[in-house]
Amino acid sequence: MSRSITISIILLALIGFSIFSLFRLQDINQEMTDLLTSASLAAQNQEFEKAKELSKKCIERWHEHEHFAGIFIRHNEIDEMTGLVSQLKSFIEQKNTALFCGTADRAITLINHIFSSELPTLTNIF
Amino acid sequence: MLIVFIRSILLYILIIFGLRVMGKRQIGELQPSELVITILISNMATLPIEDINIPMLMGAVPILALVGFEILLSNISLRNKKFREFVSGNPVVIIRDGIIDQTQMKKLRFSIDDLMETLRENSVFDVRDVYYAIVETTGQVSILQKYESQTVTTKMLDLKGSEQPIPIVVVSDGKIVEDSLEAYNLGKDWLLRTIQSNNVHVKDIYLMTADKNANYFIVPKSQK
Repeated sequence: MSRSITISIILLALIGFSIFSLFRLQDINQEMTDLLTSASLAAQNQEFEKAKELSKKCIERWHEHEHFAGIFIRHNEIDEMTGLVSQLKSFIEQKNTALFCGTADRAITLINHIFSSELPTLTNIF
Repeated sequence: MLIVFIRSILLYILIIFGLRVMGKRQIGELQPSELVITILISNMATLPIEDINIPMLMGAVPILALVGFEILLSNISLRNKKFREFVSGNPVVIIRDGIIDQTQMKKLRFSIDDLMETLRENSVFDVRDVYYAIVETTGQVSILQKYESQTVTTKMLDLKGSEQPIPIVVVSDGKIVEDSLEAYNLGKDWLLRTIQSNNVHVKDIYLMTADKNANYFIVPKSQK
């Protein structure tokens, strides 16, 4: 009986952590998408200082999030995202709007893809 | 490389934990569901070891989930006969009253060669000696030989005797096993007196067994 109780607790903990990580990933996805979208818009409006600040914040926030995300997301996807956000600062310093916006869009697509891949939909399960 | 090494150790510990929690069975005695779980667990454990891009949890979570699911299924099987039959099947009699049930043999895809090999593995070399043969849900075959072919027992010869107590290990590789002494109410004083009377020290004993009648057997450590 105690073995059943122990394993039930472990299973519930696994399910609980999985659901928690999904919500956490949703928050990360939302935050990064908002920051990148704002930065991209600022760059398009020639507000380079604002875009620079936002891209700096983006890099900082991503570095904070990647430690948690690395626990349950494939590392090569995390590394790819890290590579993309790292490029933003240099592009905006050179005032290269096209590359900056393109990289920001790629990063948004990637983070959205990472999140949607974790959802327990029929497509993802099968 | 160090990551691979650490992951290997951690997953090994996790698998040992999982198998211990599932309970003790030898490979040949596993039910179909248990065999599936064992194979799956071993395959899953290799994924995060082989590819460090895969997070450790991708190996640990499926292992824990499968172990947990197996234990829950086992508990349901224990309480529900129909469920048990659905998951594990039923034992099948292939030899009944000395007659081979060829229909069941065909259903099980059990060939004559399989039958003869199984009989030989059970030290039966003449099919005429078999009274009952049952294929268990694990795939093993249990055999009851005809009375005239069975090994003689004291009951058959109407011999009287008494039960012999099982000897247990009281000293293992120079260390006293306190639990064993307690189990047979043998005090540490008795142990030390006995060892002394044999002119040895505890640390020089490789193995010492004793039963509840204080009969003992000592194997000293070999000299290097």
